[in-house]
Amino acid sequence: MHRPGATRSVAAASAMFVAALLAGCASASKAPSAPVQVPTTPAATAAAPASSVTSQPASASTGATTTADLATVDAQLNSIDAQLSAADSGLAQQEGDPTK
Amino acid sequence: MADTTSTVPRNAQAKADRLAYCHGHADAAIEARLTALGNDLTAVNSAAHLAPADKQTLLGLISSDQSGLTQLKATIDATTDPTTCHTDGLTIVTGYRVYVLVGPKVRLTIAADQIQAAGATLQSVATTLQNDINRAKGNGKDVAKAQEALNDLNTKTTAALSAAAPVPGQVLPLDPSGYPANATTLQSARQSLESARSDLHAARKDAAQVVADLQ
Repeated sequence: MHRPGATRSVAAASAMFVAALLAGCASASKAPSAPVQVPTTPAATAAAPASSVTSQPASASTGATTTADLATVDAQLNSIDAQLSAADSGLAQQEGDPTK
Repeated sequence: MADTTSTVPRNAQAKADRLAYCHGHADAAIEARLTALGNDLTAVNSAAHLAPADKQTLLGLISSDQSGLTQLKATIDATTDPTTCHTDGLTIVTGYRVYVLVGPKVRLTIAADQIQAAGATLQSVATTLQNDINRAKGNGKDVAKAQEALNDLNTKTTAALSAAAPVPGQVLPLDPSGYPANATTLQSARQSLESARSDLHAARKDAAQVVADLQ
């Protein structure tokens, strides 16, 4: 009942198992270096757009800062005008006899 | 022969009327000044850029005047002689000069310190704009007009800062006993701040011009 083909199949399966085992051991032995390499590529990939992001939007960021600063100046100028107007009111006054 | 029996009561009534009149006007004058000092106090406390030393000086002045006027009100209210009431009442003005001296001192000092802050902000903007000009120039853009406007911005800002800087030191020491002679110092300080204000507005326009030229 024993068929030669079946024996060959078992032998082949054993060989594949051993090969797979060895391959597993081999990959397992390389395992520590693998995680180091894997993030390297994405990091390098991310680094490229990051540098282009900082160079291009830098002027946009600068523009936003200038706009915000000038808005602050406008508010300060309005406040200065109000204070000087209030000072003028006092300077224009005449204080007479308060009991009359 | 004169009727002296009816004259005495009439004089007493006239005196009482004069006293009541004096009390009423003096109290109203003091209340109005306490209100003004309250407004000055609010202005000082809400001023974002008031130098700490200037703020301390102004708060001390306002507090002292509030206490003094409150005490003066009690003194006047306790007076039964109209002439004394009138004499004391005059010090509501001469002892404090709340409207013509304290108010302008507060406002001019706040404005002067705010001009310093606005000038500092404009100087920061100028640094940023100079970098923008340099970058645009490096890219081959004609930046002559932008640079000219920026140079004017810097000149005007420097002039504003110089004009405003001495003002607190000029007006804060002024006291009621020196009025009205020291009013000229107030007017001079006001002129300096007007010049500074005008320069800052011009500098602000220059900044807008630089931004437009770099578009």
